[in-house]
Amino acid sequence: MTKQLYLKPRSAAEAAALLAEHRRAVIIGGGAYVRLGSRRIDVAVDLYDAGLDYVRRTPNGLELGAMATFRMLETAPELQDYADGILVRCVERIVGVQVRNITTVGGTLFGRYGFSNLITALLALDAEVALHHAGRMPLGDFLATKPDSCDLLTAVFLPDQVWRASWQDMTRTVNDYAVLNVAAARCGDQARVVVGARPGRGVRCPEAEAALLAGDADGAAEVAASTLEFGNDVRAGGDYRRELCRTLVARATAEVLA
Amino acid sequence: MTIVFTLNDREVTWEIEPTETLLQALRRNGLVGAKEGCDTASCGVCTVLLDNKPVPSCAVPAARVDGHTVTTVEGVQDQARRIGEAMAAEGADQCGYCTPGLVMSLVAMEKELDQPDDEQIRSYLAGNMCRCSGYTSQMRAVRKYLGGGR
Amino acid sequence: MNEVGKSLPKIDGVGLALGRPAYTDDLAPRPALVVRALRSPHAFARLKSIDTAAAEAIDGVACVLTWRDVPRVAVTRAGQGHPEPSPRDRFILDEYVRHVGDEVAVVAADSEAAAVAALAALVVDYEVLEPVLDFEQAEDHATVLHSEPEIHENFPIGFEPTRNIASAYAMHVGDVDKVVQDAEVVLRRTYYTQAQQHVALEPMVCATWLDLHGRLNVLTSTQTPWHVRRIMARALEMPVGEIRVNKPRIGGGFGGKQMIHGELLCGLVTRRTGKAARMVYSRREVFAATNTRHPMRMDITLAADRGGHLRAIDMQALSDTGAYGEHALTVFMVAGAKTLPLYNKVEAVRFGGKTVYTNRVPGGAFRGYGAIQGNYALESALAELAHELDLDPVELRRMNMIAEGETSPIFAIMGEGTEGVAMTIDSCKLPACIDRGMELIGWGEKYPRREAGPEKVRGVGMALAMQGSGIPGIDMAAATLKLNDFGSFNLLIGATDLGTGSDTILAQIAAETLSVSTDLIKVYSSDTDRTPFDTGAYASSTTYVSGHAVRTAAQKMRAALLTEGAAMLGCAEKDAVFDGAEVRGPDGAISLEDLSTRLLYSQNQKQLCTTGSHLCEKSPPPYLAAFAEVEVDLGTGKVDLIDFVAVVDCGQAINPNLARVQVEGGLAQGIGMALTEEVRYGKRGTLLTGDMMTYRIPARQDIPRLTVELAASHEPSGPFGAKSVGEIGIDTPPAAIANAVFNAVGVRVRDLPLTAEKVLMALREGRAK
Repeated sequence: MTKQLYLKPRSAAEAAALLAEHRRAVIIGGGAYVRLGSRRIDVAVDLYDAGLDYVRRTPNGLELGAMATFRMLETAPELQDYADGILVRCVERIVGVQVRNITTVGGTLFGRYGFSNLITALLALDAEVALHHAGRMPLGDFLATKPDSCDLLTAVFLPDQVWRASWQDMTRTVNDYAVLNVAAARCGDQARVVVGARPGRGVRCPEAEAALLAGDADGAAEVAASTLEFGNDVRAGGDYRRELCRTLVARATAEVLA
Repeated sequence: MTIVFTLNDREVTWEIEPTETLLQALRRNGLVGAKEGCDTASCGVCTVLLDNKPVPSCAVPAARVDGHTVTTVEGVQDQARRIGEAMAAEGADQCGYCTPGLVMSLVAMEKELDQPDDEQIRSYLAGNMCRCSGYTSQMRAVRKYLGGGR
Repeated sequence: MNEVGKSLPKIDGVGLALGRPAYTDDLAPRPALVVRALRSPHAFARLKSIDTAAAEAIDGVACVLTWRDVPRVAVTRAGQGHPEPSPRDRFILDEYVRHVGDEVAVVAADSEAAAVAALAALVVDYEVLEPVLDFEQAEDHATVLHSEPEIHENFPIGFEPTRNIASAYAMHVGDVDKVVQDAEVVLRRTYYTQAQQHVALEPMVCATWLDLHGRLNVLTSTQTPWHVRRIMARALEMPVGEIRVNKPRIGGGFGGKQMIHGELLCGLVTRRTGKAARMVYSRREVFAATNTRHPMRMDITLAADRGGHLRAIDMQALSDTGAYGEHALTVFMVAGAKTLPLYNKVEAVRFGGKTVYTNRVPGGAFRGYGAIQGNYALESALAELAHELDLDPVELRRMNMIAEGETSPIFAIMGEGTEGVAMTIDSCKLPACIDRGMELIGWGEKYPRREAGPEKVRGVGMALAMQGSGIPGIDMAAATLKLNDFGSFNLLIGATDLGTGSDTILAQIAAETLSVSTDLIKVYSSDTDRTPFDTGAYASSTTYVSGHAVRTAAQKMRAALLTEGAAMLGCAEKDAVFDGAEVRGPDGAISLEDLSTRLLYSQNQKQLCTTGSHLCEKSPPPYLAAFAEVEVDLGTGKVDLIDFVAVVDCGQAINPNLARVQVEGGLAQGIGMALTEEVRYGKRGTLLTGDMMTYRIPARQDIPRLTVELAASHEPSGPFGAKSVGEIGIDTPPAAIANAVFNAVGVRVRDLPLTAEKVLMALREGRAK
């Protein structure tokens, strides 16, 4: 057995250097979904001390550090009213305070989890991500790429926009992961309708966005249900998800229009 | 590897495996108040405080706490006793396996929330699952504990 | 009464809150070998070969065991009376694996890492066989799960392994077919109940070591120490007297620890290596390799007149016992035996069916033990009948339910695995429970439904339940009281406190009988070497059966104290009285403290030690009236529980708080079964719900309100008037909630759980009436 290494860089730059040095290194973000014993990790790079755990206002909007936890999103004063608080709504019921204290923005986005509420909400708010090497890009573009384990996600940026927004999700028990989640947002002539946990990852539905712009909540619901793909998993069947999509998109868009 | 951290207000130096979880390291060192329950951070019985925030110790790498502060039920015995008494007075303690984890969440909640209502209490404690009590008696006990603490 | 009827705090509560070492893994000896099992990835397979050489060569590996290395003795892992009513259809390890998670081999190593490496180094050649995954297709399936020549039933239970039948049962009273033919109204329905997992938060944990004398010591999280010892002795081919089993504090059981789990493997490792060993199940192993509630199909026929008088009930069931027949027959029988007597006015009643093998996680004991399955079917069918007859469902129950002073022929016909015992119901406060429950839920204003905002409707539903109090003729318990100097007592009991507080309750019974304060009673329990026998904590037996034994021991101690006190006072025994503080005679008194100290040190020296023993002779049912209020979201199908009211007749509650929380906890588990919990499998029999992220038990916001009250009641045959309370809470939520959902939105879901998905899809398909 080779000696295992556990490294704790003090900055993003140091972390990036370690990743460059150790080709097989694995980044430890939250840790909630990484069971150290369950797969062989030779070099772990834990970002806990890298100074990325922040939520802050910038001249151009808001910035969430990659190590900002769900609990930080939930309690950050900057996020209580931003986009009608949907970044708070989308995380506040997930499992429990304990898990939300270790689940991070970066870990969630890097994991590209289908069940993720945060991805759905961020997509609806035109979030961008910053990668140490690849630079800044829209979240949607980042999600479409294959994970590059040598790069480091450092932050998420939210534009300085006044979104009217709504968060809707359905869970089996109150603190379960979503059976389906929906975020809708509108700002001027911009509209966003995102549906996730289908069980595939959150995606925008341009036809529903057009309906939302036209002020037609029921139309948005119909078109989202009929155009998006839904599948089966242990939480629910695809047919049910389609019906749920109809209901939740209708409720989300109606709330945005109200 | 060696880690140095503050455990229950005392600085300790531990030899750990890089792959160990905080829960494993705690129990191996005789602090058995935090229990193993689900292995997936879903049940709350392994809750401890890391830098004063409740975390599932089964999902925290032991190596992470190097240079940080960990509080376990062994470090909050006075509060644990008062919470334990409040629970026992309601018959809410039952098998007791989830109680130390609940104690840790309550200790954190008291610091974070001012005069929480029932809804806020339920929400804060949601990650502490209990299979014995049906939660109702726990809520009675928590309200009495909080009321008595003021 | 001073001690009984008081809500004293549980004696171990504060120590557990402080996090003191108390549970098996806290106390297990260190160092100990880490025992881990290799588990089957296939639902059904033959082990063509297992190459252990590489695993054995790993540094720190102490032993590797396969089916070739273990005694070939057929056992059941069901912790039940002797001989067990479950088929002996299992070996410590076998050449076949019969469900995903079944044990292929076991390794023991100095460290977790070495054990994990050894598991990975085992090379297994599987001959994958066609599994039986649908229990409705299991009987006479081309695949036969069990063809081992050694397996057998201990007495006739209908065991036909060549047909995949673990057990079969049939009974009838009167001519059901004839009554059905003549009846004005006949209702036929089929209901399905799912596999549910116990999810005690402490997993299965055990540790074994050899003591100074070479005897095998077993520390284990079990509900049945004596059954564990007996079955271990058989499986390991060693005398019972060479094994000691001790249960420390236990982190929940619910029936899940009424089976043998790691004890056989761990014990064998210690026997082979001479070293201490420890086996801790991961949560994944708990889901994949312990037990679930038996899923059932229930075909119900009700015959009645137009006025709502029930004339006949026919309940035919099919039960899925998974890969092994643990509790197969007895759970099946309870589905009828602890539901049908509720409606004893019928002219005819029939119950029967089979329990079949499938390649799934084995069924096993689980709180409710068949009664919850039967209750869901029967209480749903009664609601459907009331609806057809346009009757208030409460009135239908009142017309037909059992009453104090009455009986049912079923009590004599059906026991657990055998014939039952005739009994008259001496305590049944159902009428009061129903009246109070209706008041608490507001039935008059809320039945059947109310609008509750846009796309939200609320409805109420109800159900009744009965359970038992121990197994008559089988459950037996003993207790010993030992007097210490300075006036305290040791209470040594075989009874097994699995978190219910029974140690406390039994101390209260001893204290009440002795007129002393409960804190003078020092309890030590559940140790096969050091406490008297007890069949174990199951079948709602501890308060009623073990409590009786404690009371008898305490009565004898009281008599002994009088004898010795009178002797010291120099008076006749008949002239002496004991009030808990002192023995008083006509001319003086001696304090308990003084008496007990003199008896050991200075005068008439002797040890006072008394033992009480009790065999359960009847099983008086506790009763419960349940009322659920739900809110259904018409757009998502989500069912939110608004309130669940349960008023229970459990006789005199020894400790009202602990009795109430037993009911509340049972309700919560039943609510989980009603709404979200379900063990699910993939196409090839893999477990889809193998962790607590996929298998969801209710969190505290899912159960915002439970309203539980205890009705005033007294059971003449119970200790201080007590009946049982451990199981009855779980029985009603599935039916009461299903009935409430129907009343709210007209959707009748007949297969559990009542997920939002099923409700919404039924609404969308226009299945609403």
